[in-house]
Amino acid sequence: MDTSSIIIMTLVVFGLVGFYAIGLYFNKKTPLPEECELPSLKCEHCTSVTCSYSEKNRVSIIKKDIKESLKNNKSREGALNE
Amino acid sequence: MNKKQNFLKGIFTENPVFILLLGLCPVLGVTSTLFGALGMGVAFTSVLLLSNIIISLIKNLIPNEIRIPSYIVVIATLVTIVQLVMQGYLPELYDQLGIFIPLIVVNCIILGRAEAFASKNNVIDSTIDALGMGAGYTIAIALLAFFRELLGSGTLTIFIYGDINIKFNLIPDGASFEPITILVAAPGAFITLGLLLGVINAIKMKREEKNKSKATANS
Amino acid sequence: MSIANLIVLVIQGMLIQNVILTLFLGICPFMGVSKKSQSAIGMGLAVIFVMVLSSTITFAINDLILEPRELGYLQTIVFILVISGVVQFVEMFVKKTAPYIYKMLGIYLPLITTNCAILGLALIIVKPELEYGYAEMLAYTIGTALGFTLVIYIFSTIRERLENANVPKAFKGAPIALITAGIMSIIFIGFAGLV
Repeated sequence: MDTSSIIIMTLVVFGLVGFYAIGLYFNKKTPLPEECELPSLKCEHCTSVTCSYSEKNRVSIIKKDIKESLKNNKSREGALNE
Repeated sequence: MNKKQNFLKGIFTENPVFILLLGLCPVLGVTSTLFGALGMGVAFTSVLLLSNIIISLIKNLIPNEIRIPSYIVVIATLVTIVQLVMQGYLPELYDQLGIFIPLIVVNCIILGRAEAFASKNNVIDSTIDALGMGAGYTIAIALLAFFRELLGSGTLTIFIYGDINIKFNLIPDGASFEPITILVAAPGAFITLGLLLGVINAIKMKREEKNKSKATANS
Repeated sequence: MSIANLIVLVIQGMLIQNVILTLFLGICPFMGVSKKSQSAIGMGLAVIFVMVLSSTITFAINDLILEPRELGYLQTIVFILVISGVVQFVEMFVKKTAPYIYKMLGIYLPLITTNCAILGLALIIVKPELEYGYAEMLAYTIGTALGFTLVIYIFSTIRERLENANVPKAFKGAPIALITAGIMSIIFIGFAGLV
């Protein structure tokens, strides 16, 4: 195996890992469209970790939303007090 | 949970095939002979064992953002190693399992165990967990293959390698007995698994009833 | 490659080598998402879309990068990463641009990553002994995806009726569904002499 093959191999694998990681990150950040709620399923059997169908994988997003709304409320309260 | 319970849960209470109904594709696909089922069980167990060990060792080194992609790369690499080793040293088994070896990657059990167990526990517990789950999986598919091959072709194939061919023919020569050929064909996989699951459900229900009546008698 | 040959490949992928009933791929969604016919159609459409897209991409990567460099042993790693990434991007894209479609199909997209039918097909079409070109690959992929949708839809309509059937208690749910699938598989054996 020559060097160029090894370089291409590494590039392809790392590139694809990056591709998938970016996809996962942005997909989690994109909010669900309005009026569209995922059916809340507490899937016990399937253990897929990337599936946004299952409730346990959505916890982080929900937490973030709560934090953000808390922040907004606080800044609003601050504005009112002033 | 002690170590013995941790091992046994993979075989009984959390059996990946019979109780959780996970990873059914290879369960149906490779069980036309006992040899294929045992080979698949060994391949599956070795990938699960190695991935659990590696992931429990590197769990603190991986940043959270690329955790799942890295797990997938680890698992896919292990699967490729198993595939190449099998192609080189056990070509008969490799031909029989075919596409189901690379498909171990998408088997929900492996990524699920990596995420749910190995990323939170130490190496020893993860090893025991993998061995238990692997044993439960192997027992389940071997049981299915046992019934399918025995009733479907009247033989039990244990091992094939080059000239070595350990195969029991259970139909005596000259006997006028026709095996149920449909069981080794594609439909037989579905039907046999359905019947096995039904029998296991029936046993489970009987046990629960017994426990209930015991509990009421005690109180 | 004539049109007739391509049609033969579509029929072969759809009926003769049906991805669920004869190749045993994609059993998880077949058992999991077939309780209602509406969700079965949703899953089927999502699978058609993702399967055609990801198979084309993996086939092109194999053809342009892996084969000329003799890196065939990377197929498993590369294909699973491509499929997982494509599913994530498709989900994000549909969420942003077409909320209506997302409402109908979106919830099935995440389930597809662990669907072995997609990776299985990607690995089947690059087998060197088949010698598929791009046109044949596309025809066979479309046939397979249609076959998946057809079978999961038929199965879901049967399961809707099974709900009300008088089944022994121990066989309710998965066991009787598997036996039903076995009977469907017997029917599909009949297509074997079609081409």
